Amino acid sequence: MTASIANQTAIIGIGATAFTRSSGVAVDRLAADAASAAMDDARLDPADIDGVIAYASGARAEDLIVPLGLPNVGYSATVQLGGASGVSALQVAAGAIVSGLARHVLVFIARNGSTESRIGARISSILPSPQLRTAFEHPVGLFSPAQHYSMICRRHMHEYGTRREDLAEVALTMRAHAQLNPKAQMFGRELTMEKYLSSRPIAEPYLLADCCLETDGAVAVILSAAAEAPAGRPRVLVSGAAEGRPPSGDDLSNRDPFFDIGLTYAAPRAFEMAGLRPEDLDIAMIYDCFTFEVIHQLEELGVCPRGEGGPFVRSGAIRLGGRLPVNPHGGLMSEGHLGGMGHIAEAVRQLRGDAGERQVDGTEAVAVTGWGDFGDGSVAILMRG
Amino acid sequence: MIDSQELEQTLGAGFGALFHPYFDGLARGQLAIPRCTACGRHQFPPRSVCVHCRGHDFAWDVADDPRGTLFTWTVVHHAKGTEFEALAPYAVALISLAQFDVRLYGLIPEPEGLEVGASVRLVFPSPDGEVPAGSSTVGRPHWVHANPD
Ligand SMILES: [Zn+2]
Repeated sequence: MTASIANQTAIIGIGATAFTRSSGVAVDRLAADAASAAMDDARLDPADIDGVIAYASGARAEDLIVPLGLPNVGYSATVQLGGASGVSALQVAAGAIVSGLARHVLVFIARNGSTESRIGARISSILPSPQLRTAFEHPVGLFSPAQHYSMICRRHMHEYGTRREDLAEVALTMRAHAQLNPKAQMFGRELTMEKYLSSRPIAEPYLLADCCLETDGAVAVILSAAAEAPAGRPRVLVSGAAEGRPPSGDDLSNRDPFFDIGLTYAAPRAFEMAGLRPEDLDIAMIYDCFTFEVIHQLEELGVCPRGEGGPFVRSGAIRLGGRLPVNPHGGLMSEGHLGGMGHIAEAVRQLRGDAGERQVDGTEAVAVTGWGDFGDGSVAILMRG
Repeated sequence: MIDSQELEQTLGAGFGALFHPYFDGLARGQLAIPRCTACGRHQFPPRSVCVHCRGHDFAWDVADDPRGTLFTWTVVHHAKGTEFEALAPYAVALISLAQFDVRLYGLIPEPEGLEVGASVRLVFPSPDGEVPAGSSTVGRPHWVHANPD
């Protein structure tokens, strides 16, 4: 019998800055603002924080510890899993708390992703096996995630009949949801099918409207033992968490099976830990770096069989009011892109019943996924309890 | 043209040596693929350790007439800030080699009319800078449509 982190910890605080195209401030200020808001929300003081997990890109732990004067940090970590790092960090934090290494762990991202470290520059410094990029990809004109991932999308279209309109449905859904989120970068800017189809091609099949945003801002969350959650409001338990890597995790070219991703391996572990099945979810927070990645992850999460993600989204299932609403906040595509930490914060709001106009009534179970690098994956199952 | 010496310097001694037979082959107009001497299987990209059996000795097999089929591809329109900017739109494809059981990334300068399963062949720029008949003006190895044999 092994110890488990299942239901042992809770997310007791969330905090975020505005999501903007230009913050006008340095990342340490962004980090301090989001962390302060999270501590207030958790009803903790700086001296209570004894663990810090900084995101793989952006501000480092010291950028937060020094300005806020956190005197008691004795545990720190950074997860190197690209965009899956934030959700993986929940697993790392929960492990630290359950093992007694830390009591209150603050997980954060702070970056000027729009004005300073756009994806092109950011990605080349954090991707695994950079020698493969240099030797076999750059010389043939292959440079960016949009290009890599659009090749997976094209193959999926070929094998399973996934359609352009399915990609559009993801983009339109994210944008429609963002109209209910005044803090979203795309609030007040509706997207129509006509506008989607006329957006300029980036790496076909991906058009500009298939791609996520670039964002300046910060998000922080605080994990503690479940028993330490403040009284008087619903607890958000970390019921299951896992990460995974597909075969040939640092290189897409010879992956076999080609559609395996980290989530293929992580999802069964996380659901087993939580004692849940995919059909028990009320909301899915899917790392929507590009439209097809939502379809792909819904399949590998187990929401629908592989190859049926297109028809699933086509049915309207991922819209608010649909069978499984995805990203009520608008996601990376329309709220803003802070490494998926915004997905965790929204899951907490929904489980607390604090999501305002976009609240999914009666939410009890939410899955949050992360997607990084060449399809590494993470997933957390959060439950009201 | 790819400057293989410069590339190997950028990669450092270890990876430079590991990838050298591949780039040396390209410079001579040949496509060479590593084969594990322990299990006999090919792998790509080249790695220090065989992903099939953890062997670490490799021989390099040269494809006689490099051909393959399109597994998937993307048409790159946005290549701002790269040396490919002027070439856009171009395609980058994953190509299943006909002769060895591996897939390679390849540049396809003419992205029109591509289909999964279509036959393509590898074209090398000639050493004296002449453009081989039937290929585009791209000064680096690239793939073009091929009539299936
Ligand atoms: Zn071997």
